[in-house]
Amino acid sequence: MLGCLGLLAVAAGRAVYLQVFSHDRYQAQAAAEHRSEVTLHASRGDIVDRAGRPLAVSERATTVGAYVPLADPAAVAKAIATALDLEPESVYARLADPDLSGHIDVVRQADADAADALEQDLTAKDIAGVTFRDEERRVYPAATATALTGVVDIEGKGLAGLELSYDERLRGRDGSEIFVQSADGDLTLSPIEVDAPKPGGRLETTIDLELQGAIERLAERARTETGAITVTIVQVDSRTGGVLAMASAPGAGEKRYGDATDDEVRIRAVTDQYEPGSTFKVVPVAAALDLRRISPRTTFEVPSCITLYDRRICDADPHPTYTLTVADILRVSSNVGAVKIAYEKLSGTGEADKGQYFAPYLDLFGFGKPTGIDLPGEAPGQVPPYDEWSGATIGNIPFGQGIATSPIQLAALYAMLANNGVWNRPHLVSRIDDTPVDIERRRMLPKRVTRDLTRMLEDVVRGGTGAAAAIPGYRVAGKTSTTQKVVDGAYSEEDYIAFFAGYAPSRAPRVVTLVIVDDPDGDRYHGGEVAAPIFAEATAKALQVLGVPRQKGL
Amino acid sequence: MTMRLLRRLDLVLLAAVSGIVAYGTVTVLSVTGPETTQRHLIYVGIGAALALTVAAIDPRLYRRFVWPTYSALGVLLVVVLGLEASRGSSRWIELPGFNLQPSEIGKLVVAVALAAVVADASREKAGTWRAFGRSLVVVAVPGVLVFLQPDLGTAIVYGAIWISIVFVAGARLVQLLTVGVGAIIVVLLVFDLLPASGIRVLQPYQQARLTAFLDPGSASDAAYQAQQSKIAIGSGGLSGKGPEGAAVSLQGFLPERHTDFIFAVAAEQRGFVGAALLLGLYILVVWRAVRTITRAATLYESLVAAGIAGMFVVQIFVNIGMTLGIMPTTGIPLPFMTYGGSNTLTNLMAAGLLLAIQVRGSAPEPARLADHELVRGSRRALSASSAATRQ
Repeated sequence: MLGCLGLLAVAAGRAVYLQVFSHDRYQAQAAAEHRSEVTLHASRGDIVDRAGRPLAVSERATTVGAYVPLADPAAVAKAIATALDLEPESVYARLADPDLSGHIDVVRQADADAADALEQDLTAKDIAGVTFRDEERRVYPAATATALTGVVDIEGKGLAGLELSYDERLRGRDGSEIFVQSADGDLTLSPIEVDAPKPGGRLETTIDLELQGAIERLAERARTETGAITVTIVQVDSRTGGVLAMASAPGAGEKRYGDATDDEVRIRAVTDQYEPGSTFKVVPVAAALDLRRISPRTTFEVPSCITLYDRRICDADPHPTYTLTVADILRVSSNVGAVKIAYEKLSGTGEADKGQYFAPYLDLFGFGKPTGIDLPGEAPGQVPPYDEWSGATIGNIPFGQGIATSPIQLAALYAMLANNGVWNRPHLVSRIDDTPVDIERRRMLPKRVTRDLTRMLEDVVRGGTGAAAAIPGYRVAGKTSTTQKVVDGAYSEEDYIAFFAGYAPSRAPRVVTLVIVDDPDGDRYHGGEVAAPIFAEATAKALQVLGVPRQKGL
Repeated sequence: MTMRLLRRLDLVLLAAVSGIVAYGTVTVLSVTGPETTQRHLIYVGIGAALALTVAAIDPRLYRRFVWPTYSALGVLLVVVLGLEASRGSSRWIELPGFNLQPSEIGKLVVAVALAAVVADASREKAGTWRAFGRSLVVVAVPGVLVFLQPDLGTAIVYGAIWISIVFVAGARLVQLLTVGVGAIIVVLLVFDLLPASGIRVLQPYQQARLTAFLDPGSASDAAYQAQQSKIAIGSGGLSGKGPEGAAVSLQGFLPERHTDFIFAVAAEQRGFVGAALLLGLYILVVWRAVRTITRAATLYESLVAAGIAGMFVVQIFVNIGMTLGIMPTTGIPLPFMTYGGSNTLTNLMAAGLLLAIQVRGSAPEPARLADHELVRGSRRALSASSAATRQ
């Protein structure tokens, strides 16, 4: 009896070993042999403009495949080419390719309705060997904001623009169905486990499709009219930091992303950087105002040129020595005045402390760092670190030389001035699936400073270099800039970049516009002549789209 | 059966067997269909009826017919050998609606015949080489015929029946050792020496089955079966996957799922809880079988009980051990669980025989065992009894 019990105890012990201690291993082996997983594709999220108009959507498509070699490839090729509007020769070449065998894709992501018709046609003709697989394809119905929206590859992976920067959110999460597979390889009819796919998020952007289209066309027209290499326009909602429109000419226009050149889909407002020139003069002024070293009426003796260390700084046009207020310095865009503000009001007492109080503002305003805009490839800009400043540095940065900013950095700076000193991270996507995106906000200046600056920038438009930026019915604040391009390491006397940055209505700003005209042809190259009229047209359009009422008497 | 006999019916054995049969039926139903299960229930019903009939008959009656029955078994086994083989072996005689497997019923015939011949020999003088040799011949004739079918598993069961009987009857150690050594020599001859000299004794599939459990990774069918059985049991875990979720056995990965590997199905469905429950029920059955040895009215009945106990133990341990991967794959069915006609009938009748021996047997006092036919083996029967009562 004991022997018998012993034998059964051995069996029980073995059962414990297998079922308790080795359970995980055998569980895995069991799962490996009888669980069969089928992926459930998560639909990619749409991208829409601020009014819900589609920029990018996914639609049903059918991939036509075939088992090759086929009995009659010519007949199949003819049927496929006819139904899908393709060249029969190229379809035939793929179907009859002697190097291929087994299942091949013949046409990826064909029109679903055309593929349905093809399937019926083949069934009627009793032609076998052609397969149809449901897929999803990405379409861009707006044919606008092509560079910003970006593109996906054939498998639906984001390659550029918002499609790239939000790829993970747009993609969602694929689900799966687990079927039980029998030893013969048959699957059960219904899955034992379903992990439902999580569809991709719907991106609601701040882009206004109507304005974006207008700005794209304006940029192209302005480029033709000025003969510039490129024209870049950025428009930001000054209250939120949301980009309303952003375009560069030459752009993709109505071309599809894949048909455009790299240059045409380059988002210059984000990826390029420029010396900002006089538009940057607001920075030393804002710093000095903030530190209460000056007021708008503080006066400076401004000669035509001054020499600082080894460097000679001159205004654009020669003039006798004036006594200029701070407001005047901005209005006439005096380089000498801007340098004097920084040199005299923002320096420490020691010789080594030149610009001691100026440099921290460059950091505060975020120059030299990416803004964090939600587009790929943002340029950080360039600012020489303060401990590397030479004596000459204080002689050029105050009027926007010797540093580089991206257009979006500059636009964000002006948006901050327009928004009473509160900076919003510039962005394109405001909501994902109706959940607001968290936008970083920072107060950079007190309202007192931005109010003074706005008054002075209004003067620039009312009676200064930016007169051409005026818009009937709206009060406008802004600043011109005309920079010499650096050619072969030296400032060119022939090639210029014209800027205008500003906002309107200046007392209750809604839109910030930055215009950059790179290397306009001919004699007209000043920001006030070339960029300001484009600014006026772009801003007027934005105010109209946003429904901002005109004010009487302006 | 009188009321007195009914009152002495072994309810523990009855309950344990009924429990296993019920468990087996549920398991068969879960992996086959209602049709197969219906057939199984018919076998069970016939088996139960036969078992109760057997329980009502005095087992001493069989002694009178033992040699005609034994001879008939021999004839049937020879006839079977001459029939056309199915599934690589000729075991069955096709009857209308039923395939008779003589070797299954033969287990009981051999047990009764051995008990009779050993009991007779003990009456003269126990433990002689002559009596020992005679018992060996009685088991060897049907055993070899079965082995030739080829049906190694059943042949092993015959051997187990013989060992239990001669052991309980008091075979001397030297006699058992002689057979043991002889067996080793035979194994060596069969597996090694004879094949080396070009004589093939075992069928290739038998050799594969017997050696597969030593090498679970090998690609043979037997290794695959053993591997799937372990996966089924192991993945069942502590509490099992339920009848619906037991995919290894349900989806056809586990072969012979309602016959030889039914224990693996139960263990996958109900986990260690179910496996332990089954093992517990089998322990009850074995305990009651061994207990019967000590309570039989006569030595002959005691030895029949011993043969049945040995038959149960070997079938249970070899089958379950096979599904657990600690014994070779030998195709021995699991008593009361496995689907099948002859096997179900044989085991239920064996249980009925145990009941019959018990109701006519003595009260627990060991003295009564000795008063009828005093034997050398009573000492061993006694020790077995005390072991059983200690449980």
